[in-house]
Amino acid sequence: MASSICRLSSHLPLQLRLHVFRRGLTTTVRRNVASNLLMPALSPTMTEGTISRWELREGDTFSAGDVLLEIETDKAQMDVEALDNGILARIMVKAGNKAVQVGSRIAVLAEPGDDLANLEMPPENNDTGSRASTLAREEKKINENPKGNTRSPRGEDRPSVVESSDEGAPSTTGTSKAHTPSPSVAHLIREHKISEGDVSAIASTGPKGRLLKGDILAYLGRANKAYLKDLEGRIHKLEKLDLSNIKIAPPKKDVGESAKQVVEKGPVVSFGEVLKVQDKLQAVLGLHMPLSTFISKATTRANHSLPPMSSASDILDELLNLPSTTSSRPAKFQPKITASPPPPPYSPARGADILDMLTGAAPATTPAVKRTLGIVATGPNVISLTVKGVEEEERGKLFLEKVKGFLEIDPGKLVL
Amino acid sequence: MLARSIKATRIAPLRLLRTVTTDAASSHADMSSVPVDDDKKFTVNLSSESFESYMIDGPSTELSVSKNELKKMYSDMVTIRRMEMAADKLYKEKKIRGFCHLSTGQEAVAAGVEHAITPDDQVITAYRCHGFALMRGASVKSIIAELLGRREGIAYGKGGSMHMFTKGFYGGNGIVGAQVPVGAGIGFAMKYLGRPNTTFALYGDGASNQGQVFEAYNMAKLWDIPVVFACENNKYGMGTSANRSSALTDYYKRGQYIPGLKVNGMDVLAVKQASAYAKEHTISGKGPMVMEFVTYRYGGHSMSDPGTTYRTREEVQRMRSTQDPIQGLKQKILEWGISEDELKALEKEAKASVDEEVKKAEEAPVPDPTSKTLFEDIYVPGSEPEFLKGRTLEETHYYRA
Repeated sequence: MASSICRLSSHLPLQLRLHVFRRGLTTTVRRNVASNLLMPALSPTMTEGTISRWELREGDTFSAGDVLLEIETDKAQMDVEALDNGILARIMVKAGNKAVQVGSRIAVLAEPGDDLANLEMPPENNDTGSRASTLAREEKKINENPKGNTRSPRGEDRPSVVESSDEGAPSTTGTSKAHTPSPSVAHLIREHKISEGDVSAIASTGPKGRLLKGDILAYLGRANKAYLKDLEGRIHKLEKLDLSNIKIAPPKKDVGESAKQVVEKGPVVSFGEVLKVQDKLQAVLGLHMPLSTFISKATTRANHSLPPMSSASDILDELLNLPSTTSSRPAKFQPKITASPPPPPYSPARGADILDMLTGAAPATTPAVKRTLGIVATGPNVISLTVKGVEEEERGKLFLEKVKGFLEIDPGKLVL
Repeated sequence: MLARSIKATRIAPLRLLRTVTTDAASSHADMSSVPVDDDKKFTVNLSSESFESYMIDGPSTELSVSKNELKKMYSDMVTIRRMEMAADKLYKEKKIRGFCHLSTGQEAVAAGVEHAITPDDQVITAYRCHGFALMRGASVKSIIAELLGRREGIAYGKGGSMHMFTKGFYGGNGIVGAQVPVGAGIGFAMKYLGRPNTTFALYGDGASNQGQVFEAYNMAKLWDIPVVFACENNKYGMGTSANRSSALTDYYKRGQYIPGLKVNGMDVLAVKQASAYAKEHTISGKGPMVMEFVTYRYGGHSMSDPGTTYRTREEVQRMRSTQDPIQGLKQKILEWGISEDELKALEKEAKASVDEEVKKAEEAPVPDPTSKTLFEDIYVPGSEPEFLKGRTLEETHYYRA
């Protein structure tokens, strides 16, 4: 311990001297040079952004990793962190400024310990700024008209554009050089020992001046030249995608509400129990309760007892333990009760020809069922329901079952 | 119930004690033994929590270094950080495009490994490779020029951030985890050639769940290949923390039949000691070793990751202010009698040299946008075919025009 103190004291004067020396140097000879903080590109596609907030004020010190400012881009709000320790010497672009170009100066940063009053302001680095903006412009140009390949089909469509944008751009290969022959062409050239000079003299009919097998065969006199001419015409015609034969389909006719409706045929219900209760009421209370009251009460009850309509979002909410967003409104089904049709009279098979049936020549043999409307209190009745769409079918079925249950099992509960 | 909860609380601190520290300034040296001479070695005692071993004794906590070595480590780490900061700046100025993964915060691993091995040893790593490339002898200019896509770049501007190669350094690999079996292969070459060198195959905690990593483990152990499988555990993969992606976060135990070592990756001295130990172990014919450097990255996974969506800014700032590898080493060597001015001078020098090299890289000309530039370096000069096809027939490149 003593030795370390001793060492420390022996170091101290030297350090102090050095410190004073350095201080003296910085104040008299060298002025502090600050550095520019340029608008950063926080994503590869960002060209400009809005400064939403400066987290620091002029003169504030910061350490590496601290948030300096908040920038809003077209995609997100992002924090800009300090890379190094320093002081925020001056804010050049105030918060709220919109469309600040990437690479433009937004602040001046000084190093820790620098005297702000004695700070030499760096020049606005025009070089980087202009370079960044030309970069952005170039990018835009590329996006507007894709170039690079002078022989691209799009370029051929718009020759004037290609010419203007291709100024000064070095030409790519393949324009002056003959195309590499396809294997069949190369084989024919080799087989018939056609010299290179002769090959270049052969008229080519392929797409973009490509030499085809047919060209060689025509040159050798083994193919009809007229046919080649015809082929060339067809190739040129098909080089571009012809969409003129495509007709726009007429808009789909609106599918009517009625088409969506599905008639739900329910179970057979008998009013035997209901009649018993009716009689009992008449006898005990002297009260006549019409059948329609029973039916309407059963309907209300069945509607209320149906489980709520569950949608996909409901299931997700349940999984995430969120409160249900859909209100549990009772369903509003209205059943229709008709007398059950008598069983169809037995008609002996007419001996329909199987062939006729298969070809659809034979008329349908099922007799049309005549439905008697109205309720038959003593006989069996059919409850049916009209629901909207297939998705309600299941609920409809359940509803009908419930109505049947309420009417057949202890219907007295409905009215008492 | 009460007893159980008491038991649980009693176990918790015990388990905490067992983990490796990430304190960057946990080593100690007896002040009376620190020599005045910069070249003379002295003994530094690393914290007992610097290492944790698996099926092996582990390295000694006594480390012998000289002040010059310490200063070199310090300036190496500062240079890496300065370079990464320059890359960050250039990326945000849109001068660097494409992929860019920075290692700010993880400098101690690259510097520590380099100080434990020789130029004849081999290193292969993933795409967070700038620091390793620099340590293996690449210049700042060649790295930054590579990022900028210039011809002066280390891979002639065609590799970018992920693909940097130099002598003894096999990249810079873009495929997650693919460098691990390649590293085992390099190690096998060392064994085959009978060279007394090891290979460091580094990968991240995110890549450690790749199947090929385990295939490499198996072969390496089967043939006792001198390779160190070193996992840089910076606690987060691309947007996912290690414990959300890995069933076993003790990456040093992942070798199962291979001895492992967990190291404080924020302390460059611990990294150096452990790497030297691993080298010794592997080249002595005992087969491979699995290492885990516990470290931390301050930035996002890549430039398109703000890095604050899956961890808090406070956590990053806490690591930065309390466990920074550069600050940690600085604190220690100030204690050991190297003056602050000397360190300031080293910092200034590092900054100035990086700034100058970056400027040179920026001034380097942009390559010509011709097909010649694009198609060169595919074949050994003289062995090219007549032509090479492009995307379309029109882009066909003829080597002998």
